[in-house]
Amino acid sequence: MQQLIPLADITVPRRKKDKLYQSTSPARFAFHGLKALLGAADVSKAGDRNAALAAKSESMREAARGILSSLTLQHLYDHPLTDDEGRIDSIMRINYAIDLEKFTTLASLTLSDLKDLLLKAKGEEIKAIGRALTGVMVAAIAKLLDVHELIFIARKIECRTEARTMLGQRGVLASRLQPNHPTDDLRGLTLLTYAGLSIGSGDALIGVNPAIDTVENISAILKHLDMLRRKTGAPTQICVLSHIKTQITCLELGAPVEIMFQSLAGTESTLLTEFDVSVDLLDRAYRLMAERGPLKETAKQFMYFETGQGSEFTYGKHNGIDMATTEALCYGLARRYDPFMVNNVTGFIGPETHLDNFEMVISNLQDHFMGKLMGLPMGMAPCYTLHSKILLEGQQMATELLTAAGANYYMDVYLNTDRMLAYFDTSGHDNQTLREIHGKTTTPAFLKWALEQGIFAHDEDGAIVRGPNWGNARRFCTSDMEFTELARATPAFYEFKHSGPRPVSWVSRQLRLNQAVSRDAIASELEPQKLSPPVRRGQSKARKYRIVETGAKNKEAHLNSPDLGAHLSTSSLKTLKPLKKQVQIVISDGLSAEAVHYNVPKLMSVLEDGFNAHSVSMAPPIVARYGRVKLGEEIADRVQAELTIMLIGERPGGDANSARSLSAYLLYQLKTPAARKEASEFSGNPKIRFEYTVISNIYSPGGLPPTEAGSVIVEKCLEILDHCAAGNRIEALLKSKAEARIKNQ
Amino acid sequence: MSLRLIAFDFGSTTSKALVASAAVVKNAVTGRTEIRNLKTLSRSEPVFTPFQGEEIDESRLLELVDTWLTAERAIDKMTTVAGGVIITGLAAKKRNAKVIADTIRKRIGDAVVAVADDPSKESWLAFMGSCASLSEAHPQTPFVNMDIGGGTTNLAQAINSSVLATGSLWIGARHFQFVPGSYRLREISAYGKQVLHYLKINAEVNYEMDAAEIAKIVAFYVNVLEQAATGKLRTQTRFVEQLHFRFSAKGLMPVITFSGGVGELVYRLHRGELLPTTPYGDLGVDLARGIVASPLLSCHLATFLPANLGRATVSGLAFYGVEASGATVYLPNRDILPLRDLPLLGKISNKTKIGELEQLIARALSFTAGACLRADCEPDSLDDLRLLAGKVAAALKSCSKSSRNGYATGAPLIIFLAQNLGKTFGQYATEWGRLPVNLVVIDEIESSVVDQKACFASVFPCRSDNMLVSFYGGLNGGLN
Repeated sequence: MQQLIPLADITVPRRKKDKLYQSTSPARFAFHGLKALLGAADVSKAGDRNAALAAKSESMREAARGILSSLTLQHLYDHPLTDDEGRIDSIMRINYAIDLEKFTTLASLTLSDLKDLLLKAKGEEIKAIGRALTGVMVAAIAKLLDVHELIFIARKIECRTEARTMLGQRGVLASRLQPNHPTDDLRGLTLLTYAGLSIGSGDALIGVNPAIDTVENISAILKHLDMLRRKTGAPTQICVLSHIKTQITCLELGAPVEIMFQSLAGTESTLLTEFDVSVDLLDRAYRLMAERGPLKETAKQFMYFETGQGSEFTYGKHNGIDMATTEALCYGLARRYDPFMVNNVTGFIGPETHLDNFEMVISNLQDHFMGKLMGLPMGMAPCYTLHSKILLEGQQMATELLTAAGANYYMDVYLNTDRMLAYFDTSGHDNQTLREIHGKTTTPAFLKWALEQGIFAHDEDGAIVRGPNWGNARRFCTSDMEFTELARATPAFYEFKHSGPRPVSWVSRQLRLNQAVSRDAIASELEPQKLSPPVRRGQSKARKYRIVETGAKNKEAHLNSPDLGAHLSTSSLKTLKPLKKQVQIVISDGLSAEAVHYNVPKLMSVLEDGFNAHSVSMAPPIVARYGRVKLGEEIADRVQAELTIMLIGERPGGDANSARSLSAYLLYQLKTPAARKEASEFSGNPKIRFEYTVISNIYSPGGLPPTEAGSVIVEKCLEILDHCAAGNRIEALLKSKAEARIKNQ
Repeated sequence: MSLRLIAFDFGSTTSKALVASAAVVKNAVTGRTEIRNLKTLSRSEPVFTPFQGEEIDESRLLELVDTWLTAERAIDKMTTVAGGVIITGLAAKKRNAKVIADTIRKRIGDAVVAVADDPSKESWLAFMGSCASLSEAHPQTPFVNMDIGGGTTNLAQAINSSVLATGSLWIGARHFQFVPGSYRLREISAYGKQVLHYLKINAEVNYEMDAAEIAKIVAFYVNVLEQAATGKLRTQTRFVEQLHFRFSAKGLMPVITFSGGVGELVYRLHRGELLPTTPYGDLGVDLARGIVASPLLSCHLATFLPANLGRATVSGLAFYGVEASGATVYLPNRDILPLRDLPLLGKISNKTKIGELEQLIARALSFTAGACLRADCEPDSLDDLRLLAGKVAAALKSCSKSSRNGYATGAPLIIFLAQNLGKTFGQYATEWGRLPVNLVVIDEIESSVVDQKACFASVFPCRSDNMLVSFYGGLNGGLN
């Protein structure tokens, strides 16, 4: 177990006033403070552009890089970056827990000198240098490297770790099998595990992102994964990626928490307020694993972290620091716990952080380099969502480059499509393809097992090739009956056939078609005329909508800058007057106009019938093109409705049905001081103004049909209006009422 | 949401129990609510049904049930418990069945369904308990399962785990009971006597039957079973039919499987196990031998092995005895649950004539404890739903005007829908809660063909928003 240095014992220089950095060639550029210099020095990425940190031109970028190159490591050391309140937060402090002795030998080097040194040095020397660098220094050097250099230096560094099995050896390309299921159905989870193991995945970890984060559910999944591991004999370790608090409780109750996971952020405000995690909590988890983890006798490492450029920016808590630097600060935090695995998930958030293939690839190469330099066992998860311009081909290019750079592992998400998280990652087929292209294997322990299973075999020259049982998931089942039962519960489980290390052609075509349908849904424009049902007999006229505009002028702006869709345009702000009705319905495309066209006509009819029957006053419904959920708050403020219902298209996942999925957000405005007080006490948020109830997955077939959703929404709205509460608070109120009623019977 | 499912099978000779755990989950592929993750926790050995003469011995019954339920005393409060009891033969005599059902309800609680004298349901349960997964694994293959017990052979024909036809024969191990180890007759049932008469065999109690006579009886039984396997029982042998069994093979020979006590013996013999003469004092082993010797009946013994065999019915009852509803039902007052033994009166849709619909509803409202109907809506048509629900609302209002007491106050009217439209249907059918009627609409109940013929339903609450529903009711109309 690594000793955790108390934060108070970490020496950090006092914060200093921002220095003005100026260049004269090729033109005059001035950068106020190190944050501005670091931001401008990086490749232009959407997140940094949206945060106004990116350079406005290539010349400006090169000027920033020139200045950065000339700064010494001592200079960077002497200028810790502060948060928005001017403090040095805990994550910045932890980044200063470096090898000071080594640092003194490097302090006088400029970044330019350091780059040259890294290009010449061997792996162990590079690792020793890395131990003497803070995250800020590592990010600074990353911005000065081109693609060849990011790969060349990183591939010299070997970072081995060991839990039940060892990872990170040269020549090994491992994978984390990620058998996620949208409802945590253990049958689906089982089949996806068998599918992954049968193609040589899972040697790093079998790790599930759960849909339901409760102690009961997480414990059940852990026990199930443990059973599968033992049953198959696969030499690996297991993890369920719930919140660390849940895993701690599971471990205390005896569940097999072999590897403890948490997502990290590079600023304390993001980590604390958005992820509900503190350094103290991480320390506690680490100590608990050392004392009580199931692998404590044998494992050298047992923590697992995920990171990803852009999360601090999306929460508006980046402290004015660019994405690559906050990512490196994450790595400095991860380093404290000597983790078994670390991977990024860059590309997961959307086009507001990484717009296209190029930005995603560069960020991934930077992440890998920075993590390895800081001594972390870096795996990679170059990924994307369908509302960005990142494509499957871009992801594949990233993995080819990262494999050349020596990435320890990738994810295995079945056929690239994660139906729980609605994003696209690498697949087991990708991993095996990369192994064959680059001459890599699985971990030695896993390979031995896989050879015994016939998943791999030796050819006549002794080389490792796919064996007779490669891709045969059925053989892990005891019968055809079991296999059929498991397949019933697994969405889009296409015929499990292969061509070489790839899926058969028709499966690939189907997947691409699903993605295309979803991308078209995202690209579709909202057309109000499609939202009225045909006029019924006895009905005098079709439904009328009020049309408003948001801050997004077009689809591109809407997708790339989410904040624009959260606010009305100036002209629309003026047109909306207080109507003081009980309910205001707002219809917006969100990330799928198709979902709105498909579901809203029937849904609106039921809503209107229901509210009219209960004499609930409704303002004329509003349609807002290019809107986000938060738009509801601004509209609610303007029209002064008690309850605003946002009907909005969800982000499409990987199948045609999810492209038509709608959510209903019921925003209850806390108008009175008494209501705000109660809500604030309940939530712990003193500034709370709205409470939200969400009804999602409205579509048919397979989800909540819009006709049924209409009455579900009406019923919930009546409860909200009756109790003057929404969200978790209304559910708590209803539950205690039900319990009181039972007690009185 | 966790479930504990407890099933009991009380027959003329033996009784057994099975406890299983399950969960109510939403299938991410179909979007429907299902009871899944079924896992057997404990299975009792068959014991003799505790009779005193022809009446159930209540105190011995209580002891037996307590023994079976010992392990279940510490059930987690968050787990919903549901139970089912199937009562057949002598145990199904009116008073006996009530005693059994009441004893079990005292121990488990209200969520117990009692199925008595329902051979169609038994056949379905036996198939589901033994062959459902096998049939799903071979969705294009028709199956005929023969559940052969002491008194009856329950037949089910199915494809892709959907039972299409059921039937029952008075063919079983214990129509002829012998002194164990011999063929000296100790008892002959009424149905056994009919067979002797048909075969012109002169035998009575204390008579030692010879090998030829035994062979003749077995050959007769096997021949009838062979006819049943093709779905065409001949007229001459109809006297052994309890419930007529007929299906259209459509040129495809079904896979024949066996379950029940004799079914289990069939597979044991096929595996080469040696069994002595009348070890259980009945014809079970001889009948099983006859089946194994029949090329038609035995051709799938090696290739298709059902589950649970001797416990097929009780397994079927535990695993398939209840269905889970959707989570968006129309249930304004949860306190009315559970509802037991409600008569199922018929089906309504927009094709139903108004007069007929009104009559059905009026009849339903006349049952003071409540009654049920099935409703059928076009899945994607709001207009169709509004039209049908509007007709129901009109019928409810019309009943109120013509009834002396207004609505049958407090009497619940349950409507089952296959589509996920329960809440909206209920709202329109009550004019958004304005009509003072105790209407409950339970959706996502896709009933099997057998359930379509059921006469009764019971509805139980879960800890989640779903409900558990069971359909049953046979020749004698259940326990009522």
